[in-house]
Amino acid sequence: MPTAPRVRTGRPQLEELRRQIQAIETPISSPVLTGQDALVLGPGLHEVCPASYLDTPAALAFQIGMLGHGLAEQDRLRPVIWVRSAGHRAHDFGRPYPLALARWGLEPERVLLVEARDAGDVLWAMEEGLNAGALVIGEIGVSARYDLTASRRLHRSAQAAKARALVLRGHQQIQPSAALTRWRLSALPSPDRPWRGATGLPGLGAPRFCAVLERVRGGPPKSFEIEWKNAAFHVLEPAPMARRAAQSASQFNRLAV
Amino acid sequence: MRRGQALADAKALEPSLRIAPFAPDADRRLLGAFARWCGRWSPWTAPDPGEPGEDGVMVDISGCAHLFGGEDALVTAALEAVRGQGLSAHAAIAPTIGLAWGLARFPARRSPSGWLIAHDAGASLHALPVEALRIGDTAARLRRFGLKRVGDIAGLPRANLARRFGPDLVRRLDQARGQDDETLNPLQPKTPFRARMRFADALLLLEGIKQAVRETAETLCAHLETEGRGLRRVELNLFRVDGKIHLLIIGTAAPARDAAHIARLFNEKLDRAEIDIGFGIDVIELNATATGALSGRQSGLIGDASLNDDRLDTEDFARLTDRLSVRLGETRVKRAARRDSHIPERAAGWNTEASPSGSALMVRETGGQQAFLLMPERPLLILARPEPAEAVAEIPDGPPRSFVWRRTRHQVHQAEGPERLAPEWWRPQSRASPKTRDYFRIETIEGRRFWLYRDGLYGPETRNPQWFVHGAS
Repeated sequence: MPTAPRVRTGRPQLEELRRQIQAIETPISSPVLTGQDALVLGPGLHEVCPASYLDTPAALAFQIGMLGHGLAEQDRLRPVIWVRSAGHRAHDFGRPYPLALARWGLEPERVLLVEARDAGDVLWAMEEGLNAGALVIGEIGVSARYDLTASRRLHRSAQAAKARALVLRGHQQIQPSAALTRWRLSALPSPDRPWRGATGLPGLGAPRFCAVLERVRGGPPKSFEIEWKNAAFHVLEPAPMARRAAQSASQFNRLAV
Repeated sequence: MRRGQALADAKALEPSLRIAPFAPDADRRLLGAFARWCGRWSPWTAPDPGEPGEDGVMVDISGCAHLFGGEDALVTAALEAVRGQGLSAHAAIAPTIGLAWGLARFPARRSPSGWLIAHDAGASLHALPVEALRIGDTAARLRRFGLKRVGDIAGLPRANLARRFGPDLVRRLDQARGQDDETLNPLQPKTPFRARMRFADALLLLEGIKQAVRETAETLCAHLETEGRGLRRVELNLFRVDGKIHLLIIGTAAPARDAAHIARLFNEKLDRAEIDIGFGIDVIELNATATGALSGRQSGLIGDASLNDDRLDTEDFARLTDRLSVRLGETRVKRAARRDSHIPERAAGWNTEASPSGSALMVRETGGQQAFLLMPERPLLILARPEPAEAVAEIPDGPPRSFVWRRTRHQVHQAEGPERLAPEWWRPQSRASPKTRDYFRIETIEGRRFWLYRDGLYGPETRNPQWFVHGAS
């Protein structure tokens, strides 16, 4: 008689153990997915560095575009915390403009702009946001406070919340961190529009960027030329990879314009 | 005419009689307002409602009279001000509430000035009729025994008085003489939601205070729930044993009624405020200085919160906003807001929750995303102040071919524009009256995007137009 209940309770325990083991053993899925020829980032901490000072707006555009793309339906309503440090005026290209955010796939009413006093507050606000399940953009810039320990904390929080944290670093940053990926962003000339204005200059096409994946956990560095179109980043010239052969020629032509 | 007369009889006697329905609530409200108005003579005032036509206001002028030039000057000025409002009034100043009440209602009416000061309290009291003792029907019974003045009963044995006429008479008599305590219950500024907790032993540890704040918040939130309101701004007063008071204030992004949330916000403040507890805190008081309507919430039928996305979103959002603004400061946490304007720097920006008038926080609306996509393209980043650039344009009205901004030369490869934005003529113009702006979206040969404008139309507005960079990407 005493064995019967043990068997019955043992079953769920076994299930629970299996689930725990599975959680530990979850294979590290690639932090960067190129499904449907669009770039998608996995949950965790990602770093973006502009290739030069003047590429900072391009790096921010990349961050905003990558932030919400490829999320599950219920995660699209998560608030977005945009943390900036109030200090660096000289490095500043201005504040994000609410009316432009929608074009980059971010509804402005979801955004909470935090202008922190110093780097310590920036990191605190980012972690607090991640713990609350928000998506986070952090303009860290050049800061000694953002080190291996700080980045590991952010990464843990982001993974626990299955959220993405995107950190903008200075263009000369080479210090190590615990981020899943590090991107180096620069702008690329966009394709000319077929028409020309009265002044002889062609119109602006879809924005293009050169995104170099400098560092990725569990993978080799890669380089992408990407284009923002239809609310996603599409890879223009896929780097040599397995999927390339499977891609139909017509699709490729359409993407390359 | 007399009280209790039928209306028809009264109208027969005096046809021009003005009739108004009896409104005791309105009378009481007016009396309360009048008592607050009397706060100009002393901070301690209280309404004293009585029979119709017998309402009064009690003012404790201890230590106040000299500010108005003595008691005579004070009472004269007060009566003048009251009569100036069209009220008929009498006043009396006496050492006790009971004596002042009686003096104001009986002898003061007959005095030529309408007021009295009891310089000799005993004599004044003895001369009063027994009705002046605030004893209601007992006064009529006293009169049946021929006891008409207070002086008549003052010398009688107390035990007999109490036995025949009830203990109330003796108590009132003692109060009028100043032998028994009577205190004014003063009007206080309206703070409808307040919870406090006293401790027999003073709290010496921060942990204890936090726990007490939590429990006090639960009391306050229970009170708010019955009223259907939530907290917007809360003051926490920590009363130290030696009389010092610490004040902490928090605000919330949306009306909140969750005690745990309120307590967490205060914990954050308590941790950072470095409060000197001294010999301990013996009273904790939570004071809701601002509240907002908050109706009851229904949890989802299935019980899975993630299914009700919108609800989850707004509630968590407000809580996160609260936590961030408590630690970083309220001015540092902002949300997107827009104004009714077409000038780019005015049309949209970032505001704190308590936004100034004229701008509204953006809220989720159906089809909002589509509305944004229909608008003309705007740069992702916008400079707080447009920065001048040296530009070379081929033709005066066209986009620049190259420009120098922040000491870097940019070659223009693509351009779109102009988007012409005229100044808002309906606004009062400042000294430097704004000019029409021609905006161009341009891309440099490196692929970097900028948003430039030329200030002023070439010809009618300026001969030498200046270029500005207003945004990037």
